[in-house]
Amino acid sequence: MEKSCRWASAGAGASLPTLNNTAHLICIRGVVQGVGFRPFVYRLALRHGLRGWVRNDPSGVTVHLEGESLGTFLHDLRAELPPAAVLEDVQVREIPAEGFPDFQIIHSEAGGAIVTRISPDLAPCPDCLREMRDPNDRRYRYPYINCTNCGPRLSIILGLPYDRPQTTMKGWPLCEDCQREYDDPLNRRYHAQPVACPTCGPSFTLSTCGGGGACDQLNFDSSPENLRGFPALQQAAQLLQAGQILAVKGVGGYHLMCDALREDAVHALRERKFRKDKPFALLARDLETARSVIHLTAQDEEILTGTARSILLAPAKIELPEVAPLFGQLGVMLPSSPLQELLFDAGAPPLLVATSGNRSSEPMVMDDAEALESLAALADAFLIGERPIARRVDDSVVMSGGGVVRRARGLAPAVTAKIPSDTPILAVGADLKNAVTLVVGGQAFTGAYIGDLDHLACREAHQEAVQDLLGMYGLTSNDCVVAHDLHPQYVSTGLALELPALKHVAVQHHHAHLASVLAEHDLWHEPALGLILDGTGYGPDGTIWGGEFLLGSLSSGFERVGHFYPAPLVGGDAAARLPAQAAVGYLAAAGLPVPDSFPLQARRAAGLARSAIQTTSAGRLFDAVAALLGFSGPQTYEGQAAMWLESLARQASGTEALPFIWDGQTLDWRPALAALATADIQQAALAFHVGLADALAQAARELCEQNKITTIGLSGGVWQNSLLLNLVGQRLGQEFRVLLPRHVPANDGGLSLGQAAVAASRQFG
Amino acid sequence: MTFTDSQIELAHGSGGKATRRLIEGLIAPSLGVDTLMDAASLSLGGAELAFTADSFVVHPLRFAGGSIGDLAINGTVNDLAVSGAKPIALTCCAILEAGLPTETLRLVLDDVRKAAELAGVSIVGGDTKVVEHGKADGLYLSTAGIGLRDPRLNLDPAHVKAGDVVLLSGPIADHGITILLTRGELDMEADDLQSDSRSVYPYTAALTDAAHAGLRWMRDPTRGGLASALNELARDAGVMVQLREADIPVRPEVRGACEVLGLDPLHVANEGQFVAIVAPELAEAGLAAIRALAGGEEACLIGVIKDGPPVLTCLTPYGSERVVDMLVGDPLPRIC
Ligand SMILES: [Fe+3]
Ligand SMILES: [Mg+2]
Ligand SMILES: [Zn+2]
Ligand SMILES: [Zn+2]
Repeated sequence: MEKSCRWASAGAGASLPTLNNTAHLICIRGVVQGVGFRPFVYRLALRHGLRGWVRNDPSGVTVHLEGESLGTFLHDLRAELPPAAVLEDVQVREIPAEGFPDFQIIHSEAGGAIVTRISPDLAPCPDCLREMRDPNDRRYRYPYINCTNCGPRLSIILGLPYDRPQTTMKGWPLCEDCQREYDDPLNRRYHAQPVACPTCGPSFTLSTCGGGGACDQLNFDSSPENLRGFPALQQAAQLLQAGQILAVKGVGGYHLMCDALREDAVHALRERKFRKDKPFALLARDLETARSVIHLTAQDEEILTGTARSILLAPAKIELPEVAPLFGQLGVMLPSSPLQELLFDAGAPPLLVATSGNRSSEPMVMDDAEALESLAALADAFLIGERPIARRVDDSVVMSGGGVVRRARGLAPAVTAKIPSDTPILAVGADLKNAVTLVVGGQAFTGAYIGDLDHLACREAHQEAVQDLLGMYGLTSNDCVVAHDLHPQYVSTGLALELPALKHVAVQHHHAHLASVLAEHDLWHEPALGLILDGTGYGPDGTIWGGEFLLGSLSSGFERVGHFYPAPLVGGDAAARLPAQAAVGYLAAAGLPVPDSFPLQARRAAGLARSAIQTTSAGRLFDAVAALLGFSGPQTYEGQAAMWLESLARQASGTEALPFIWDGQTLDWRPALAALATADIQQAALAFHVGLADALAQAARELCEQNKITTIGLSGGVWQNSLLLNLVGQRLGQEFRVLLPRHVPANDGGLSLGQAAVAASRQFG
Repeated sequence: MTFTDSQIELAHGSGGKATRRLIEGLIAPSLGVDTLMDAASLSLGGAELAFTADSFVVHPLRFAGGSIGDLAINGTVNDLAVSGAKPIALTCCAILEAGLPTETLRLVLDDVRKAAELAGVSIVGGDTKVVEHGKADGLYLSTAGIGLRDPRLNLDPAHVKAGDVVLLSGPIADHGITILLTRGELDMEADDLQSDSRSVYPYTAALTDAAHAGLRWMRDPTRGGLASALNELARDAGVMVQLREADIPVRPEVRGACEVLGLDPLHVANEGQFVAIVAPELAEAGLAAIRALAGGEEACLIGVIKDGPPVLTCLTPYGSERVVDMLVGDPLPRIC
């Protein structure tokens, strides 16, 4: 961190006296590199008649200004910020003037410590889209159009500093026209590293092999089977109209696409992907199309149209049973690349299914040859772009209201928290929904969603992500404290212990969940109560935790002050797949009989409850209640039973509550289970939610009052249930400061941030 | 690898990673032994011998399809067989707990004799000790055996290479699931289910005759199951072992029980199967020779050796590839 930059912050519009012989040094921190920030400052300085220079440095951007209009400069700096830039800190101090004759952009020097925030990939900006649709523009219908305000970043970076030779665009030398734009500080493409045009840049090819047939090799040549440029997109659009399945190269990997309104096409995609009923994401042509399929609040529209172009999960307006069976929600995103925009321009159906191009559960495919091989049985044709992908970047998923479910394209690897540690910390995350965090220079960079480490490809992607994050900051694991979960059998624990490190730190799963939300909100010393509602995590007592009341602060550590009533976890992980089997354990703990209506297999498992490991899981309680209300089968994707239960409850109304008991230490759900009536399952589902929310609120209120605490942190995957979240928020929101993770998911995708925070506190107090 | 655990835990006997740490980190270095094979090779007066020992602490003592008695014979016989030897003679030692019903001992000894007869080995010696009540779980058996090595074979993980084929003698997990069901916690109709306890020598002999030139490595996947055996191979040979889930035979009732118990059949013990790595050109011939024998009909080819990280993977029916690790003790829930 540059020492010379630690002064008081200047408020927006601050007007400081400016003498002729003084200058101002402005240190700006935030997402300010690779987002067109320096040319923006340059243009601003010219407009205000200021002299001096702007340059990138290890901590952000530094500006040296000489002239009269500092105040209006600072005002406009904030007011006209480039779309992708984020200001976190602006520090101003007076220094002697040096008498610069003009204003200049000073270019980055390689070497030195790199504490640079790499910008995530950005959706095309309005200016680029306008040019792309202007027949007189030289980039008319060019699918790789971009500028300093938009386009790829993370997905094309091969090394730092971020310069064209260190991107996957290095193979396309600029033509004269592009070079001119690249060199002109007043141009929107000034030093836009991926700049290209139809003359000098890469293109797209349509390959109509696939459909189970053989794709011998990659062939970018023009031939009847390999159309290039816009005709390729027109042909692709026709194939989509005809109900075919296309593999389409996106910013950070391949998508499989088909017409969402053609049940035959979506059904074929389900069959080929072996995906029984997990909902598919939709790609809508524009906001209007999105509005026609989901209910959108103003805030949700901002999420949808934001530069990350995340998938937004929102209440469905229309029923699409093949896209989202049994489910009142749809996941919708808007185009994230010029190519996707052009595909619609070329006549693709306005609502497409767009699911990650991968074999079941594996990471998204990003390599062309691998796509042709592994997606050949899934896709009828391939729309292949020539620009290579340096890093796999999956779609991000955000819930209505803003909770991040999957942190990837457009969001990672941005800073997720400040963590006061001078020693780098590498946190490896959990086994499921894995993501890794690296703390450098007091900032936590959380990488993109990777997946389930049981899969070979995810395990390799995890190891790549670790090396990649370390490499970006010139580190090796030897320089780091390595944090991992306390679970002795986690794959991630094993991988962490194999990394040579300054020190290894094991962090309890639910401590990490709470730490993630406190770290994000920069609460280092403030004590808080954590309501951690989770699936399972290894507890320090050797049982399996999951419904936990934790008390403490990041700096002093956490203590378990309460928990859900324990139940046997029948069959261990089998209970997570088979809700009826989870129910068998919870019924045994409550002394209730197993219903005759239960699947034979689950009834036979009843005896296992005697010796099964005990759990306080909140997630399995939801599964058990879902099973008792009729969810009889296995879950074909994670969270299915709980989502089913939530959607049941949303169809009922009222304030009827099932009885739960909070005795000061244990939240006892057994009375609720005993009182669960199955005559009206929608009403029962709602009464379960209401009763649980009442009990959670009562417990939280008592624990907070006893311990004089005003802040409550919510974390754990169960909080993705927005009905429960709202009910609890209504009950506690007035009296307490109730915090949720914002930048990282409440599920295990946020775990690595929490691990890093706990490791930091253990090291440095 | 050094062993730093302060005391021995049950997990150290599970056959997984912890066992391997105990053996390689403490037992082998303490005894000054460096290679640990199923059986040792000895050259004695011109005879090429294999020598092995095993002990048996199974509970319950008797179960569908066998007892501790035939396990004690078959376990040692199979260690000899998969090291490429013809089992010849065994010793059998017993540690008895005071209070053990004579009838139980008689039945177990009957099983010992019958299993030895079936395997064609003679019992040439033994020893008996009695310990106080409460100091042993009824009865422990310990056997040692010698066999005659087949001169045509040179089994060694180092000979395993990419392209080789994984051959399995029959359905897996029967033994381990039978034992679990005998304990009675899972209310499962297991009429047809019994331990697979048997000598695999007839099948290893047939495979040897048909494919000795391409036979690289064999193992009987007991504790820790097929996953442990093949993970060790992957590590020892520095290759990736890739199985095809759909091709691995598992009886439906065993699969059902595994599902309920949250177990992967690949982690469950077997007492009458073996896995072999065979050169691709001789795999079909070797398979045919095993299948031609009674009890060998369900043998099949279940995977391949690949260049890659030294791990065991399994291609799921959905086309993805999962890593199958060794177990460390009993599986703890991991799904959050
Ligand atoms: Fe969790
Ligand atoms: Mg043995
Ligand atoms: Zn742009
Ligand atoms: Zn150009």
